[in-house]
Amino acid sequence: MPRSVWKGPFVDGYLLNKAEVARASSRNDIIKIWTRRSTILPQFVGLTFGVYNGKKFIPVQVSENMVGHKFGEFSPTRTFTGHSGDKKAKRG
Amino acid sequence: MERAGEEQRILVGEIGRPHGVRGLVKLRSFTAEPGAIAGYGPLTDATGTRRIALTLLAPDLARIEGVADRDAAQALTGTQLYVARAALPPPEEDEYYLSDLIGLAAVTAAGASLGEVRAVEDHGAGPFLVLAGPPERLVPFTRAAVPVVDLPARRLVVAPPEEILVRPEAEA
Repeated sequence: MPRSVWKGPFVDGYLLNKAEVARASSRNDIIKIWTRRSTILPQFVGLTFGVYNGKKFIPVQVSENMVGHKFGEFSPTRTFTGHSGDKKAKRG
Repeated sequence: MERAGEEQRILVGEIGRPHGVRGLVKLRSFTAEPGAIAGYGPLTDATGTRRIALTLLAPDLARIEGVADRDAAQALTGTQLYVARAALPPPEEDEYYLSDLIGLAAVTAAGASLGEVRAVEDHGAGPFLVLAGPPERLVPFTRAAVPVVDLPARRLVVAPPEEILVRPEAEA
């Protein structure tokens, strides 16, 4: 059953405050967080978080498409190793 | 990726088990689009001596030129398929092949070593570099964090971002 709409999205309160401070500083800091359960809100867009996966803080650059998802979705807890092949990475 | 002298070769797939009795084989493609493996022309094996021409019949099924029966197909099981780096199309601006980035030396603007790039990962929230260190560092692959990528010199300049810790206790 999905979460009731009247409750609004869940997000740990301290994260909101810290994101506001980081946004005001307009630096490219990585905000290291443990809260994988928090929902990504529109005010987080453009910030970079380091989301703990139990071992490392995985860099998560928040974009508009990610709003509504949870932080933990972008920080896998299982190791996957593949071959690079012809895959490319675009510098953001 | 293998480097033999000037020629760089990139692992793009692997031949799997035989399929049927007419020499068809299962194929594991490591390319971004699985079907792209057949678009790079003839491939070579790990030694670089054997030329292997594929025709894709399905995303994971291929016919190999000169292989017409199951025994011949069985003999190729596990063969790794390489393509010359020069056969890959040039990437767009600010786009890099992972195989080009892996192994680059990472240094700070001041010249201090941060180890080499061990992997480039992307879990849906932007690519990031895994720098071997020690200590191991995960650096977002952005212009701010990686201002210079110098492929001919095999190095990149990294400006490690500041880190802000947000512990749950901060809520109190």
